[in-house]
Amino acid sequence: MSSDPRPERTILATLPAPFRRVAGFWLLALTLWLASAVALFR
Amino acid sequence: MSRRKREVWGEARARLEGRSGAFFTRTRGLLLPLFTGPLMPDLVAEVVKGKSGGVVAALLGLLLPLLAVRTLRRGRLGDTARAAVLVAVATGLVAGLGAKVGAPVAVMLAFGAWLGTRLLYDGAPEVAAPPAPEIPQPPGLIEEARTRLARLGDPRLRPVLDTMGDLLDDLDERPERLPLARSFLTVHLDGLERIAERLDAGADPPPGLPQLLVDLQSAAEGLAARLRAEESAALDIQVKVLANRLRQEGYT
Repeated sequence: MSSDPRPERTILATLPAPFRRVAGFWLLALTLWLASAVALFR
Repeated sequence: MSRRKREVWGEARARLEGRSGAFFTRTRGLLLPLFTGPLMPDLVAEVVKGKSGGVVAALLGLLLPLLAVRTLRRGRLGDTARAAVLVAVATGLVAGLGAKVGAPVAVMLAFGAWLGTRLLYDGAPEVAAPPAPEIPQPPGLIEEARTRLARLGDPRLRPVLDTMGDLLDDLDERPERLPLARSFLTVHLDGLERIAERLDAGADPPPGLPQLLVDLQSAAEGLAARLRAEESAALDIQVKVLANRLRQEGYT
């Protein structure tokens, strides 16, 4: 197995890493928690 | 801020990002179960309420992100994209089936989850998939013929064996001619093996054997010559075609 790290070259990957991580975290949290909360309290 | 200060700040930031990036790469995917945590009480609630749709949605909402974690931990090329799709499908199902928010909102939430996963994990180092295990190929006709020839050690057969070896060399260089020589190789090798077997068993060579060996040798030489002639004919055609083309284009 090749162990060469090959980062994906996508537009998103070019954004600054801290911004990506914070934005990704909150976007995921918002969508998944929202969907779960609505399912729970519906 | 002076240039020196900016450089120091930039270096410190790059170091910090590098360190946090390495940490993030090591722990990638492990955050996902955190987001699906609220589905646990939802699953219990759906079971209590007896809503099968809600149970299915909650189960898939818990399982698909776990699959996504597994995919992300594997870290092969394209795995981030696959994991993002899995999380999006899970979110869409929970929103549509479990929360019953309606298709447009479910799609929006699924898109948000997809984008969130991509934002979190895009750019993490990925490794190429290991190559598929190589299936050992059965030995080709030429290799098999070489092995059989090598087993025939009788010195009386040596001239024929040498000629056959030359023919095999020719075929090695032009394997596309192999179909022309297939039956020839089979018949000759079978014959030679039988003769060698008898000679090894102590049989006296019949008076016709030397002539037969000469015939076998000349047949092998004839086939080699025919293969070469066909190659020459093919070249001749190429030359004629190219000459015609040059004439038509007005270069000659």
